[in-house]
Amino acid sequence: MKKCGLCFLLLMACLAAPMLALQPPATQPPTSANEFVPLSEAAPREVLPATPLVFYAYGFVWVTLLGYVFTIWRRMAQVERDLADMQRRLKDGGSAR
Amino acid sequence: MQSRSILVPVLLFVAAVMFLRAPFMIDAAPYESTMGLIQRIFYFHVPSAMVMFLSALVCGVASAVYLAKRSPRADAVAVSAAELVVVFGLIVLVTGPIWARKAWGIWWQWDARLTSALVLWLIFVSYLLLRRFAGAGSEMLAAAVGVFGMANVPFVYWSVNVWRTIHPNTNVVASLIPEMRVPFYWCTAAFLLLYAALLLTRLRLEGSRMQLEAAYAELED
Amino acid sequence: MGFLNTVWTIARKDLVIEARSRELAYTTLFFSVSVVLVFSFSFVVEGVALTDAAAGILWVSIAFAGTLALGRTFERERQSDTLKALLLSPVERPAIYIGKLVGVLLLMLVVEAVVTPVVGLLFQAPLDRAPLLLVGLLVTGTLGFAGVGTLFAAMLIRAQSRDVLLPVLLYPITVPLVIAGVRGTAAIFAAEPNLAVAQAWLSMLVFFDAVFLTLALWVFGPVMGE
Repeated sequence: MKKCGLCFLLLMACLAAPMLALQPPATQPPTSANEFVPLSEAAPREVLPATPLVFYAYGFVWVTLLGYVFTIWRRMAQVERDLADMQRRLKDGGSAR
Repeated sequence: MQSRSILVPVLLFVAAVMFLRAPFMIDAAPYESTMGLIQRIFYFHVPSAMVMFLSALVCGVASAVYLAKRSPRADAVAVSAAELVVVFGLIVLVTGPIWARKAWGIWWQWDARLTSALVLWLIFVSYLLLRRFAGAGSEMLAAAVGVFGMANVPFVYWSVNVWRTIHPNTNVVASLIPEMRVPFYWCTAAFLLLYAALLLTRLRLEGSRMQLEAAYAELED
Repeated sequence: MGFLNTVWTIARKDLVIEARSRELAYTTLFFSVSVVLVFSFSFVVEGVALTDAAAGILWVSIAFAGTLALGRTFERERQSDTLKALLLSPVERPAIYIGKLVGVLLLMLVVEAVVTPVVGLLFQAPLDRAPLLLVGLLVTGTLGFAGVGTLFAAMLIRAQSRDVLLPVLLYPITVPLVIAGVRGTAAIFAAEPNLAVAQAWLSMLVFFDAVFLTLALWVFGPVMGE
């Protein structure tokens, strides 16, 4: 059993070694892609289509509001169920006593 | 009780009709010269922000009333309003960066309005966390947070404003041409109606919950 | 006289406990020094600290250490239910609040007295440029932080998961204090110091303190009273 674990560890180490060797180039992406381009230098207006962004924004508003209404509705149903349950138990308890 | 059960559907219906009409009005509004289409987020973003601040105010006042008078109704108003601050705050904090991505070229700026909205949102999230996780007696503690949260709004805004600002300021609303102003006020009114409807509905939930707790207490006696 | 006496009795009680064990002073102090160390890894690039890093690191370590001290101070009161006894005793609520506040404040100031020179040393911050102004910023900033913190730590004493909730509540609410403290200190430490700006932030801090302490005094009674 112990041997098995050791073999597994060795195997992992063998697999990990090339991965580690591969890593350094991956951590150095071209810097230009990562840099923030200030508004004054480029006109991102033309690069970025506005329609999907507006669509996402309005979509998000509706999803959030409807989601919130849904949670209220669910909590309300839960409380109402508990309340009905409770009232039934109260009645039962009252008659038993 | 009877009047409220009619009031909420009426409010919701009017708000729904207004929201259905809103896209056509927004569509008919002229394009803003420099921002173009993306400026249309403004018609929902700004009313949400207004509702968020209004709700924070409602929560703070209700919390102060609860601290002074200990009326359970005030506490119910406070918790309902706090929840709505978080919901509308989320809308503000998501639609804002979507607009900023296009208008400023970046998702987020540490600007006065953005930062103060984020801080306000965090305060009310912590309010809800407190109520959720602090256990028994958290109403009183939450009321203290609500009062501090409301008192903090101008300070956060003021301090961050001195720190830095690039967000379009509130004068924008006054400078709008009528073709833009009408849909903007239309959306604001719709959001306020929706807020009132949601607040009343949430209050009803809190009322039922209190009834339930009273029933539990009765059962235990 | 009675009020001040009570305040002093409560504060002295905390200070005597602390002077005997020195638990809080030592742990908080070394905690804040380690915070400074951890931040130096992220804010020192190629051996040089970023602009304004010293002011930011100083205030962050104060805020972190303050939270730790607040949590521990009230944990002590909770362990043997002494806060309840204190609240049951015929003492005005504001006196209890101010007494606890004085204890926390003095502890935090002791920690700052050590951390500030350490930051000054490690980040070449010119502490001697406007010492009075710097002390003023530190004292008023700490007073506000400890004022809000004492209220929240005291009210969380009976709550569940209080150790997590304290920073969650405290940091967003003390944002104005931290901004004012950091910007004021940065104005002093900057390569081209602007003491007028630092003074403006100091007066802002005094104003925040006044409002926060008034609110805390008002809220403390109903929150702690039964």
